[in-house]
Amino acid sequence: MVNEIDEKTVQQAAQGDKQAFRLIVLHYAQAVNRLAYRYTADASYAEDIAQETFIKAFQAINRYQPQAKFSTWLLRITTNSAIDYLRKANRQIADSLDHEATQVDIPDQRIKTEDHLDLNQRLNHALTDLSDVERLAVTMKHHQGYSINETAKVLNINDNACKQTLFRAVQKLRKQLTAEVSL
Amino acid sequence: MKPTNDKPTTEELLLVYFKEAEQPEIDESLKNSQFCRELDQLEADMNIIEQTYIHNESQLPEDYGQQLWQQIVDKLEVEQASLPEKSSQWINVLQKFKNWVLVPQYSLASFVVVLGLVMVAFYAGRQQESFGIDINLQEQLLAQNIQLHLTQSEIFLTQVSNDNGRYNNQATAQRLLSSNRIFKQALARHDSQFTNQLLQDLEPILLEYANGSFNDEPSQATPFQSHGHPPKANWVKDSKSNDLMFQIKALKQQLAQKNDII
Repeated sequence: MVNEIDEKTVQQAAQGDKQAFRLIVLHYAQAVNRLAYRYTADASYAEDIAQETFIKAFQAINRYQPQAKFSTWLLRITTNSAIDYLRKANRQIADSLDHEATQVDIPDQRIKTEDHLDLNQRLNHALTDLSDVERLAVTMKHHQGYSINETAKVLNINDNACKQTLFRAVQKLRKQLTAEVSL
Repeated sequence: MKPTNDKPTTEELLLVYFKEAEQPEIDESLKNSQFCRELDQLEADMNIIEQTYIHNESQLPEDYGQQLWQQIVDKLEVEQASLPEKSSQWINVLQKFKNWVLVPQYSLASFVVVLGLVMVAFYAGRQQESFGIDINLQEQLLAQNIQLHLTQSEIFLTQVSNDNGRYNNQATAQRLLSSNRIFKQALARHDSQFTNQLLQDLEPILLEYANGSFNDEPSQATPFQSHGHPPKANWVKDSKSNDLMFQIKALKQQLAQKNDII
């Protein structure tokens, strides 16, 4: 849950007040970066996406509708920026987002070779090992509360493919936990 | 989803966990104790995964917002400079109008305003259409129409003359008379004395035939008879009438060659 900034600041920013927009950046920077990190599992990507998000927000703030929460609006821009960024960064993600590509299940060999790693490290590796589409799907659904249908639309895949992507992502993450318990 | 005592699949569990299954299906699934245990386990796993995310996220410096601002402030200035101030003001005005329109108590007023705007736009569009035609094009169209009118008048007068009054087409004369008057009005704004005079001279002759005066007795003289011949006579042989016919031919030629109304 993100604390909302006051409406007056948003209104002032919408009228071109740069100091008001600075307050918005200070208020939401961490939330935007964290969401971008969830989508990408890469700190430098998250940094770029956060910058891109606030520039886009600055361009579009006079189109913001006060009926919706400002954080919802801003984090939606973050989601779109992350998807755009990943598309540009990697042709494969573009293909897998545009077409319902069959996802190859990566064999989970890391458990055997890296038994010494603690749970956090294992999960970090698992998050990194998810494909971009899987990470996007699980974050949009689990963290951002998008429906499967909305997630599918944003990722440009059909509902069934979205469900399968989501199931596969959760299974991969849970495997790490099971491995930990069984050690 | 079927309520059995079999171990539920991850898919079934996730649909319930993410609240994507239908409520009756969820209720049915939750009657199964095995399903509930698995669901609890899934929930616990998802919480651990969430904690891992939070652990990673806490690595951002406290002044991250300020750092980010420093990184983007120059780009924002460029953005701001590229957006014309005027357009953003217009966007604000439109935004305020849009918000106002969305308020229910103003919806009727909004409807009236929108209707008014549509009517104004429609009227303006019609005005623009009439003024939008190029003046030269208007001149050319008028010249061609007068040329056509003169040709028809010439044919008509030749027929009535050669048939010695037997040719009786009052309707044609009436139509030509109407056209003649319209062209006279159209030429009122033009500096075209010759054409105006020609139409002026043509009008009483056409009026004569339009009124059917060519069947009248000579005693019931008509203006045309001032030319010295009743309409049913071979009036083309009259010198004034010959002049008129010559003028019609000359003007027709002028219009055909130059499209110029003199």
